[in-house]
Amino acid sequence: MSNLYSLAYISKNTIKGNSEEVELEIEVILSTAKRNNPSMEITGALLYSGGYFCQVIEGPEEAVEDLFETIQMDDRHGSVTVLHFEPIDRRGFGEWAMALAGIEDRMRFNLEGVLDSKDNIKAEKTGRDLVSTLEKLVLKHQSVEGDSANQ
Amino acid sequence: MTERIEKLEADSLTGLLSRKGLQDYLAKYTTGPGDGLTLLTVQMARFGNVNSSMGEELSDRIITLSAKRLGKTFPHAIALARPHGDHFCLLLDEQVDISTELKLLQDFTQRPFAIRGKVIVLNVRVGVATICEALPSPSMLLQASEVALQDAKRSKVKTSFFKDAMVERAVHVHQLENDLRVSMANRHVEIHRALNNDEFFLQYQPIIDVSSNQVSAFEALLRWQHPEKGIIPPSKFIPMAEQLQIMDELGSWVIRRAVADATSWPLRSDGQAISVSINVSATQFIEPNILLAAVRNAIQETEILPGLIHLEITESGDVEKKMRATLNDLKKLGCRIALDDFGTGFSSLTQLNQLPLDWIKMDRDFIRDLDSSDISKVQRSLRMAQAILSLADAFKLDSIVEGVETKRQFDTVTAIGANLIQGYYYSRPMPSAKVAGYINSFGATIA
Repeated sequence: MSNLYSLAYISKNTIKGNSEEVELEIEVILSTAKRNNPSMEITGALLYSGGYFCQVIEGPEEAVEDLFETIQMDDRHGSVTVLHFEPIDRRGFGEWAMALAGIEDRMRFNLEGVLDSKDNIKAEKTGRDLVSTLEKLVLKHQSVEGDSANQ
Repeated sequence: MTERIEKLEADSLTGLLSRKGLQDYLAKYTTGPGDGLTLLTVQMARFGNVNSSMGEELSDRIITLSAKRLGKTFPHAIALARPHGDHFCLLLDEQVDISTELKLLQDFTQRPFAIRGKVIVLNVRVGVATICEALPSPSMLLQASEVALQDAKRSKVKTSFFKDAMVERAVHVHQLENDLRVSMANRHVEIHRALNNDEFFLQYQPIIDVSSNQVSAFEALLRWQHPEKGIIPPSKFIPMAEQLQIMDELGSWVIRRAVADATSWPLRSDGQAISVSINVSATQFIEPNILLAAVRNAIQETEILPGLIHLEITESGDVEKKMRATLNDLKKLGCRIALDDFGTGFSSLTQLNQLPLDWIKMDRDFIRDLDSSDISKVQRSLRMAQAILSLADAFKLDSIVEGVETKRQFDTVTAIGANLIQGYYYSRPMPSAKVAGYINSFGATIA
């Protein structure tokens, strides 16, 4: 059996400051992830959407657990809701240590009921939505970045 | 001078102070007049379930991670300890604002653990004890915060602050728990020596089949005759026995005793044998082999017809799967099953469908209000009772209506089709010695 796991979560941003400061902090988060994740065989994607962090991390089980524990204790966010934590056959974000899927002003996921409830079915569905949305956004975002870099 | 923490005894799993380490630290901790000092004892409240369902290795991992999180969240704590199991202690000085610290602790519940593909959210309860007139010395804080934690658990609140009045209550509960342990330890010996002079005994309350006007069964009700405190009600000692994990032993004794009693009862006037209905605690399904062995042995020893053994269960989400499998095994032995307290708590239609039931017992709450002077209450209860009876009927189950005390209640429930009735209307629970006389005289007195 594969030891590869995927974990998706949503958490509330607790970074104080204006949108520029928040963006700067997200840059710091991403560069730390890009520096640390490859050695742990972690890949994933991050979306900042309407005051929430939406992140998918994937990798060997223990590495995912350890990273999630570090994320949990990071005071830049709170109210963490895990949408799924499950074994996977293949990575969805295999090419990225931590891809940025985007920074958006409005929350794109329907969180009603998910954040306060322990309703796993609903959370898992939102988890799947999150992963597929992130996959699409990453492709779009990275290709735009790539295009602008080539210009 | 306060002792250095590094020299004190540590908990081997987390590296935090052990209970002894913390006690030694508090014993030598010196406070000046007016100095504040607070000890928080924290329990990860859902840990019991996590432990039994996930295995020791994973629960150890949760403890280790919790200890690390505490260390990171409370770097300003004077000392951190793990006195035992899922309990942690934080010693804080007067510089900190306790309400802020408590918010940080409750924040733990917002940060789930992800371990081995499972997401675990812990529920944190806290007992708080601060140096004050009633607690002048640091060494008193550990016990006081634990008393406060017990109070939080009993009152089902997140946080409880130590108060003088808690001591008396805690001492009382502690004493009862201790007495129960001693009584059980003695019973170990007694069971092997003789079953006489037990502090535990059974009383029996009849369940009457109204249509045939015959006794259908007797429910066995466990009582504890305390040598000094008199009779302790089951509502007090059963939760204790469950907590002390001696319910299996106590439950097995009840099965053996009740089945033996039942085989001594006379036949009814129509020549039929009378059943015995025995309560089984949800905790007896955690290690179901003990329950199954007790029933099997009782059948073998007494040669009772297994169909005369009725087991009364209450639903419990925690052991649902094991319960279902065990009930199927009990049915294979020939026993019959009643679902107790139906209509409250965890009752669900799924259970009716999935558990191999023969009866449901309607919760007595529905019957109580039938005597109310408030007509709307009466009507509401009547509608509920009717709904439960037809629900049982739809699932081809018989209903037992318990708690029937008055003629009015009896007339009402029989008018809507209830046939099996239990309650003071017919008889209070009676000592075992009176059961035979009741059976023999039943037709004559009630017809």
